[in-house]
Amino acid sequence: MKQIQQIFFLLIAVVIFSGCSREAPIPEVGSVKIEFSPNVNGGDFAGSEIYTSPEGRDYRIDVFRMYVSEISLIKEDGSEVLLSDINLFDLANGGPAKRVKHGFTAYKTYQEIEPGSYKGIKFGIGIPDRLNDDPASYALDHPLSISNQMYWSWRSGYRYITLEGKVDSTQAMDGLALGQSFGYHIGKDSVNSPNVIYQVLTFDGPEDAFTVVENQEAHIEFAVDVEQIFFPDSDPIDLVNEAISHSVPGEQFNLAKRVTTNLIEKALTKKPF
Amino acid sequence: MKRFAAVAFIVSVLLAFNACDKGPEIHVPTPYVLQIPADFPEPLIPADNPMTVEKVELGKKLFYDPNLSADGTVSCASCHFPDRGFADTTVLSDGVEGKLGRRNAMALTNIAYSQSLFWDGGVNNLEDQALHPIIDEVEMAADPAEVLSYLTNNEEYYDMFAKAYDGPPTMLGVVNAIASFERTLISGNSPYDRYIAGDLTAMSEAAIRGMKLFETEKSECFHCHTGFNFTDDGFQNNGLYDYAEYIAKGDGGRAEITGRQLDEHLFKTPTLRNIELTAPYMHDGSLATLEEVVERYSTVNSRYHPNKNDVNFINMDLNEQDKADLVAFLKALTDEEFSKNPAFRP
Repeated sequence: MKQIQQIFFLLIAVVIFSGCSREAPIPEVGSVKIEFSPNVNGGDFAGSEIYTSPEGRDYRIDVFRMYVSEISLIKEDGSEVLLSDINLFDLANGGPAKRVKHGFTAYKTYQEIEPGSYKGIKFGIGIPDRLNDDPASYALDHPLSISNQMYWSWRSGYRYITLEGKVDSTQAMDGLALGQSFGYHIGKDSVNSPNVIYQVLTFDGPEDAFTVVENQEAHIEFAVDVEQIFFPDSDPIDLVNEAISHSVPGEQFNLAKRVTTNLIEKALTKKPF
Repeated sequence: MKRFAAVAFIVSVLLAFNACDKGPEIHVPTPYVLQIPADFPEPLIPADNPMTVEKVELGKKLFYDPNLSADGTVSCASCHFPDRGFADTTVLSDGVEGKLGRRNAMALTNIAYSQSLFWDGGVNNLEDQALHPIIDEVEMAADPAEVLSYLTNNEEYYDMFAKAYDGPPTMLGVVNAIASFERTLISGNSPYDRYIAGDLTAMSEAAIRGMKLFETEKSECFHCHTGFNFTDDGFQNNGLYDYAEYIAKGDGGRAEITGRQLDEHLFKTPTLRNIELTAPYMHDGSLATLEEVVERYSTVNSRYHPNKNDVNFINMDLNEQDKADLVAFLKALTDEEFSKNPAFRP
């Protein structure tokens, strides 16, 4: 009987001790929300709402999606923390039904970020060559899935940015009918030239530093003024006479580059943290 | 120590007897492994309806069974013929009592990859879709209670449900099984696939010319019929008619689901795989041949619709040779292994 009692106590002790030393404590982490907030000259923007250009021409944007690749946070020591290989941001929720599925939005929250001070953020607008692959490589819920309607063909790969809408093309500019379509499908050209459209942006200036606090969300927000994509003071896009680009080599590719330049250099600004 | 050994012996005996008295047999379903072509992605399988051999077999039997319909005359296969890419041969399909549907029956080729179903995308998964034709009054017009009564009183079905779900027939079991069978309908062995895989003799010269044309801005086809399944899985207004004609025909398309003007007369982009087999074409079955389809697209810019996908219809400047080559390419997407696959037949 004594022996059974001894075994019983031994078992209890093992259970108690194993309960105490179950796992290492879970480190406290924070999260980072990255958002591209579209606006029209500082005012509200919504997909398929009608706005008026500085010259008085009505237009609307139905589709505005862009790939953002290799999103990394830059630590104080200059090392980088990769958050994501790629994500698809949809800046025109409310557009027609052909828009992106799987709930892609204008923001994405990345979890389990190490708390601490960071000096900035870095990402590419578009898709680096290493990811511009056959969509069969990507599951249907992946940002690069073919079901997101951003894939062109094996020749050109993916569209990096898609901007589509309608414009009043009449001389009267009375806004009675937005009868003309415009569309900029921006990516590599179909002859597979060097990937000049893809651009890596780094924001690590004095106002770009931020802190990730455990159990809190750091919000990194970029404003995107759609008016500056099309109607900046220098090199505006004529939505009526420069209405289409599929990034075909030649004039269309130049137009794609101009739209991209306007987007990156004039429309996109980082809000202070 | 002796006493300890005795206790251990008694426990062992009890366990042994318990093992013999198992009770009712529980059937463990066998996972079904989809045959995915090398250059296709994995389809999304709902977590609550994993693929099993038992469900696929049951789903196939249900798919071909006209007794599910109100008058015992219409099955899923009545409008989805395996040798026609699982599409119908008629403009509109006959339901019970000769009632006609309002749109052309869509093909089921590679339907596992489709993330919205019907021409208007009214449902988002095959499980929900499967119920619609069963209860639709112009299709099978069945009363679910009668369907269940039929299945429950049929010994073979009762056994198949028991093996698939470890329970009696339910309507959830019906639609999950049909969806599972439909997900097996994968096609990826056409002459085009063999050509891409390296067999340069698999396609004719005309088809090769058509393929190259298909992927250029001259024909514009690839903008919507893109990727491994030749569809963007989205919704487009393809300029089939003028706006006024669409209005006169009365089918709102995607807007009937979303209620938005922007979606008026948008319809699902179908796959082009096995397209040669699925005539007639378009959401209303209005074009009888592939030649008519290509001809219609070549004049698309003469028709106006505010929602037309005209950012992708810029050139469409096709001569007669181009048109013939495009048709030759489309026919090279026919997969005979698929259309004759005995696994897809009753």
